[in-house]
Amino acid sequence: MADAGHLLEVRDLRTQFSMRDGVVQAVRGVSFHVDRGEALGLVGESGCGKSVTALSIMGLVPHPGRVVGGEVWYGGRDQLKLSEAERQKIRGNEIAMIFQDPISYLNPVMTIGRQITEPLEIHRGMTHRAARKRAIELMELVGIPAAASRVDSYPHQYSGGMRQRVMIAMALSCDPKLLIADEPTTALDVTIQAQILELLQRLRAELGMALILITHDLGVVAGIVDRVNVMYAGYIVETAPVADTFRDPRHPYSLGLMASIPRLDQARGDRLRPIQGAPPDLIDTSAGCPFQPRCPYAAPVCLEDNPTLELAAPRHWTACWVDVRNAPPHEPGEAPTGQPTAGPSAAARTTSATATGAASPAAAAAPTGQGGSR
Amino acid sequence: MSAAASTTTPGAQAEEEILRVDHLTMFFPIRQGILQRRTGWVQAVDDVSFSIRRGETLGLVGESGCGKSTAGRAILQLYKPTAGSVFFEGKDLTKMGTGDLRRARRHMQIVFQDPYASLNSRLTIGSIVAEPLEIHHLGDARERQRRVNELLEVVGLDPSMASRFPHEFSGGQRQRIGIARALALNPSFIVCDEPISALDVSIQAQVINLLQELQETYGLTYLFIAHDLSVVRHISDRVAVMYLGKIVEITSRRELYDRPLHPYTMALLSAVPIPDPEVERKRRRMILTGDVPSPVNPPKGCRFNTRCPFAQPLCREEEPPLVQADATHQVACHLWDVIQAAGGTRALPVVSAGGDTAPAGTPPPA
Repeated sequence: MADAGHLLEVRDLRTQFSMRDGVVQAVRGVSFHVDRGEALGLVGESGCGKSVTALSIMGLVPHPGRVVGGEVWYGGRDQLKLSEAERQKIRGNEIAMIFQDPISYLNPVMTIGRQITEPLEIHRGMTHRAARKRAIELMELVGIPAAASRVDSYPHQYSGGMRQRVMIAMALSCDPKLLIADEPTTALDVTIQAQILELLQRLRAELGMALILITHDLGVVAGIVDRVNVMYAGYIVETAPVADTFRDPRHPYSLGLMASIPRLDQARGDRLRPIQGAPPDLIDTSAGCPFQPRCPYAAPVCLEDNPTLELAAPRHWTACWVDVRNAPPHEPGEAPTGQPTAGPSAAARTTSATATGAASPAAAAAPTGQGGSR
Repeated sequence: MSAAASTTTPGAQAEEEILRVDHLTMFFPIRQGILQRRTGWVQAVDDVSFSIRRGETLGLVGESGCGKSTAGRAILQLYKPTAGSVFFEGKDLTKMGTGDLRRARRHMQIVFQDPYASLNSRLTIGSIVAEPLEIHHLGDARERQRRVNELLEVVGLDPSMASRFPHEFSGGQRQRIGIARALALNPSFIVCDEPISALDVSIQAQVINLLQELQETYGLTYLFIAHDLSVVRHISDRVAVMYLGKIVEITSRRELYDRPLHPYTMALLSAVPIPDPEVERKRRRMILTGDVPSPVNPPKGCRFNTRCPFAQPLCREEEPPLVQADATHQVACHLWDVIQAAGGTRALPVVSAGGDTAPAGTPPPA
C-alpha cells in the first residue's frame, strides 16, 4: 500500500491521552491513505478516535495527548519526524482543517477579513492590499453574499452557516491539497447543512482538492465521499468504497449502525434495531475485539484476540473474525454456545473502570435493559 | 391514573382530543439600556393552533429558532403564553390558578434534550426519579422507593443503581433516567423535546424504541419535538412543520412525506441526507438560499417568502392563513394549489452548484 501515488498515508498511528484515571488510548494503530483529489469519509461515534486521528495528522493533538507511534507520510516525508517549524509550513498551507463549531475558532474581536488575510500574509508573504483582495475573492468563492461589504464585519455578525463558510474560506486561502473537515455541518440546521455540503462538493470539483470528511452521520457520508473508513474504539474496523460500505457492510458494527438509523425515504417499520450496550471505555485494554461485548455475532475467539483488517472483497477490508453473511446473530454478551460471558472481559471491565464509573454501568446495564425488562 | 392500556394503532386516532392549542402566542421582550426599556419582541411562537388525540404522537419539526421548543414549553405553562389558550383534557391551562395547574401537571411531563444539564448532579438518580412523587405528596418513603425501582426497571436500568449519581452514567442512560422521572407520576401526555439529539447514533435507536414501547404500554400521548425529519418520520402519527414561529403545514406522517404541500417542507425533506450512496446520487436536491431571518423582525407577508423559490408579490404582502387543503392536511401557503398543479416537489427548481450565493430575497424563477 506504500506506493508513491498516495497524497497522504497514515501507518499504525497511535495517540494516547495520559489522564489521572489512566491512559486513554484514543487511536490504537490506524492505517489508511488518501489519494489526490479523493474524498475519504471517517465515520464513527463520539470517542471512536476519528477527530483525534485528524488532529494527529495535523500535529494539533491537545495536551495531555501525545502521538506515541506510527507514521504520517505526506510529500515524501514522515510528518511526525519533522520539526514544529517545518510542520507549520504544511499545516494550514498544504493541509487545512475545518471544525464543527466555527465560532470557537474565530477570533471575536478581529474582523472576518483580517482573519482570512492573516495566513495569506504569513504563509504567502502577500501585501496587505493583495491579501484583502484575495480574501474577498475567497469569500465570494464560498458563497458569502456581498463579500466586499462584509469583509470588515465581525464573527458575531455572521450566522452559523456563514461562519462555517468563513472557516472554509480561511482553510482554502493557501490552496491546500487536502482539506480535513471535522463534523463541518453537525452544528448547522439541515437546510444550511445542505448548502455547506454542496459547497464542499463544488470546491472539490473546482479545486481538485482531496477531502477527509469526519462525521457521525452516515447520510452525510453517502452523498459526498468515495471511500469510507468506519472507526470504533480507536480502530478502523472497516474500509471500503462508499457503495460497498452501504450495500454490503461486513463488520457487525457497520451493519448495526445501518440497521439502527431511521431513513427519510423509508416507511416506518415496527422498530429500529439498535446496537445494544454502549461504546467501550478507552482506558480498558482487555484483549479481544472491542466491539465484542455489543456484538450479536461474537464467537469465542473474539474474547481472546482482536482481529486486524483483512481483505473481505475487492477494495474492501474488515476487522472481524466472523463472516457476517453466514453467521446467525445471537444476543450480545452471550457466546454462541449459549454460555453467558461473565468471563475475562467483563471482569477486566469492572476493575479497570472503578475510577471512571461511567463505563461500568454502561457496559452492564444497557444489555439487561434491552433483553430483560420485558 | 394509568390510562387503560390503549395501544397506538392508527385506529386509536379516532379517539378524543387530549390537547388543543388555540392561537398560542409566545413573545419574549427584548430590553435594553439601564432602564431596561422594551425595544422589541422576539416573536418565538406566533398564533399556533393544533390538537393532539389521545395515544397519538404529533411530531413538531423545524430548524433551530423556529419556536418548536418554546411552543412545547408554553403548552406546559413553563412559560406564561403571551396569548392563546391550551386546553388539556378539556380545561384551559392558561386560565388556571397555581394549585390547579400543579394538579394538572401530574398528567403532563417533559423529557429534555440535554441529559447532562437536565439532571441535578448532586442528587442520586433515586432521588431524581422520586422528586416528582415527593412534590405531589404521593405515597410514603417505602412506596416511593418501590415506585422508583419499578420505574428504573421500566426504562431498562438496574434498580440497584438508584444510589448512584448522574455523572456515573452515559448519555443514553441519563436520558433513560430523565424518562423515568417523566413517567413517575403516570402522566398521559409527554412533551419530548429533542430527546435523542444529544445521543450517539447507536444509542438513539435504543431510546426511540424505549419511547415507543412505553407509549404502547401506558397509552401515552407524545408531542415529539425534533429537527431530524428521519426520526420524526419513524415515530410520529402526524407531523407539524414550523418556520419562524408559525406552523406552515400539518398533516399525517404519510401525507407529509409523500405529498408535501408547503415549499418549506419540500426543501426540508430534500435537504435531509439519505444514508444510501445510490439514492443520493440520483436525488434532486432543492437548496434554499440564505438563512432563516430573525424572529425579532420577521419578514412581512409569508415568513418564508425571502427563501421561497415560488414566491410571488402577494407572498410579500399578505400572510397566508393555515387552510384546509383536504380533510387531514393543513397548509399555510398562498400558492400551494398552484404548486401542486405544477407537479409539487417535481416543480422545484433544480439546484445549481453555488446557487446559494444569491442574497436572500432574489426574484423567483418563473
